[in-house]
Amino acid sequence: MNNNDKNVRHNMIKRVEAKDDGRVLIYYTFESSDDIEHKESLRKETDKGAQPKGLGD
Amino acid sequence: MSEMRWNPVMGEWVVTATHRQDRTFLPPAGYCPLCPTAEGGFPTEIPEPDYDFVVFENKFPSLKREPGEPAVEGDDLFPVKPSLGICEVVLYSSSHTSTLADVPLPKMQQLVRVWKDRYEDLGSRPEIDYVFIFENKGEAIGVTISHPHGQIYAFSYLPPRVERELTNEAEHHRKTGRCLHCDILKREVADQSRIVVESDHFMAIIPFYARYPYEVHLYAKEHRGSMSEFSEEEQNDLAYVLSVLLKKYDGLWGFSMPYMMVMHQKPTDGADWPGCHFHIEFYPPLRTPEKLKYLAGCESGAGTFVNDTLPEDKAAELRAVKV
Repeated sequence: MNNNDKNVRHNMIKRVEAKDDGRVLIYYTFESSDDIEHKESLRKETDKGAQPKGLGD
Repeated sequence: MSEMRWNPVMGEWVVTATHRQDRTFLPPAGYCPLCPTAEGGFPTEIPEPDYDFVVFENKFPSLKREPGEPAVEGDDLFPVKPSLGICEVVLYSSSHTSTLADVPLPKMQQLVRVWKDRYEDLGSRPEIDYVFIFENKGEAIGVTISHPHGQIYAFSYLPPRVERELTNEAEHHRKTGRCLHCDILKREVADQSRIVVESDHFMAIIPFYARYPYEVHLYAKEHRGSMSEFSEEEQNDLAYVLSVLLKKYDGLWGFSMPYMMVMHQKPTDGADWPGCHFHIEFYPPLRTPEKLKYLAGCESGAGTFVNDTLPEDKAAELRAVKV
C-alpha cells in the first residue's frame, strides 16, 4: 500500500442539527485539495475582475 | 436509571445505566438504525438518504449531558453522583457491510479530522476532563450493531485505567525529565523485533508487555500529547499507518479481525500533563483463528494477564502480512 496522498489537504464542512428528542446530530463532509484549488482559482479570477470559467454562461 | 456509584474497595467509579438493557441488539438486515433513511423506509438515526460521516449522541448513553440526580442516596461509605458526560456514536460509512479496514485512504484521512474535531469540541466543555475515542468491532467483542461505527465517551473525570497510565507517565517524567513513551519507542527502534509497521510519523508495535497475543500500540514517533498537536501531514500519515495495520489484521487469517481500539491522549481537564503521549491501542480477543483469549479468573480477579504467546513472534507474523 502506497502513502502517496500524504500532502492532500481536507477542508472540513460541519453541519450541526438537533434530533426531535434534542440529541445532537452532526454531518461531516469534506473538500479535498482539488476542490479547494479549483475554488481558489475561481476566487482569484473573480478578484481580478475576470469572469470565472463556468459561471454566467 | 443512571448514576455513578463509588467502589471504595478499588477506588473507582462504576456507572449504572439500566436503560441500556433495552438497547438495539443485532437488528435484522434492512432494519439497521445506523444506515441512512431510505425513501419510504423506516426512519433510522440518520434522516438523510446518504452521508460521508455522521456523529450523533447515543440513544442509550452510559453518561448523560443532563443526568439528573441519582436514584439512590449516597453516604460516606457509598458515595454516588450523577453520571455526567456525553456519549457519541461515530459512523464511518453509510455502507452497512463495510469495516474501518475497507475505508479508502482519502476517507480515512478525513476520519482522522472528524476524531480530532470531536476531541477538541467535547474537550472544550468545562465539565469534560477526558475524551475517550474507541471502537468495539465484531460480535466476539459484544458489538450489538454491525454497521461500521466507533464511539466516544466524554468523561467528567479521569477513568481509572487512563489515570493509572497518566500517574506512571508523570512519575517517569518527574524522575528522568523524559517522556516514558518516547523512551519505550527508542527501545523498540533499537530492538526492531516488535515493530509491526512504521511510517514517516508513526510506528505500530506489539509492546514488550502485551497482554493480548495480537495487541498493537500505534504511536506518534515525535512527542505529541494529543491529536490537536498533529500537522496536516501527520494526520494524513496516521490515516495511512492505520489503514495498513487494519489490512494486516484482516489479512492475517483471511477474515475481518475483531478488536477493541482505544485512543489514549491528553486529558482536557486544563492540567499540563507533559508525560502524556498520543497512542492508539488495539486489543484483538483472538489468539488463534478459532480461539478466544478469555478474561478469566486470573485476569478478572487478580488483574494479571497471562499471555500464551511471545510479542516478538506475533509481531513477526503481522509484519509478514502483505497489504
